[in-house]
Amino acid sequence: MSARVVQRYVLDEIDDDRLETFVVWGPMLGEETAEDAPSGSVYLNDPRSTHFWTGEHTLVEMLQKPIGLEDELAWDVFLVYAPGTEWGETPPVPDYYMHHGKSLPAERRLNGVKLHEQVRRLLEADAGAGSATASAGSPN
Amino acid sequence: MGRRQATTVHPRWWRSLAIGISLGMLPISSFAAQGSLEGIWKGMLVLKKAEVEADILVEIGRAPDGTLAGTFDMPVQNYIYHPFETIQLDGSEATLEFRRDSERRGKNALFIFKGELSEDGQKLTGEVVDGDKTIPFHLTWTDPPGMPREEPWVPEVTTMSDRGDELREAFNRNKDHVRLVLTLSPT
Repeated sequence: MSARVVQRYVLDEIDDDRLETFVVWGPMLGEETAEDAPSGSVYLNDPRSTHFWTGEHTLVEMLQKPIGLEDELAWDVFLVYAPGTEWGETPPVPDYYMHHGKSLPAERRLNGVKLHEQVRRLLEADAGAGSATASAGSPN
Repeated sequence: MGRRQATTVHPRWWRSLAIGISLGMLPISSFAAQGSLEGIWKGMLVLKKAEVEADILVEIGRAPDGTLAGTFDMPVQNYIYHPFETIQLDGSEATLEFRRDSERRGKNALFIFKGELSEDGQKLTGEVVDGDKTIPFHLTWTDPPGMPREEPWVPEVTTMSDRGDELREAFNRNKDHVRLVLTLSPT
């Protein structure tokens, strides 16, 4: 259901090719397999989405620290990164995140409207930065 | 008092209804007319707005004896062609009942869609009654009953290495984009 909320409130409503979505499907509950993944990916079937499957928890362990999780694996999290952010040896700290059912701030629980606002904010900031750069570079 | 349409549908009916509709055996006419429930309706159950929402599809047609019969889909719960037990329209007030096992209320618990049909017959809005709880829903009429259901596009899923190298590469390749990374269970 989280996937559907992201599709409906973010991808359906933000028609902007400067947005990319990467979805990692995996064994959050313990018994999911790669064969189950399409039953989830169908709910996020926007062309700007790329879907991956992992059968391990390694990646979600790597994602714990950037959002301040200690004992819980970073499944069911929604991470937003601004243009320019690079992933080096370890995942970068997101510019914004939301979660579902984690011991993280309640105001960061997944909400499609809030997630939409944050994605929109970063897109608008990027557009502003782009036009500022263009202005600075253009002759007066 | 408004027009009243009522029927009781036994569970075995839903299969014959679905087959009858799919084979075009049932009449298709004036389905979107005012005051009619007949058709395919698509919408959402809103367990918590913008947080927990689920797609639903309701299909209502007429059984061979002329009574209303229908089914309910909620794919995220693996409900496909789940039969309604009764379907009733009293004026603009619709009542659709079905049964399913409930973790909270035990086996074969009764659930009731109670909704208001819009004047133009295109919207059905209300609540699903789950014992002492209610869950808002909204449905929009899309097609006559029996129309083939569009198969959604299912994106390809790539298996990646444990450390997510493929994700990292794609993330960095799209460095000039706003990127959203989600980690989810498919079930």
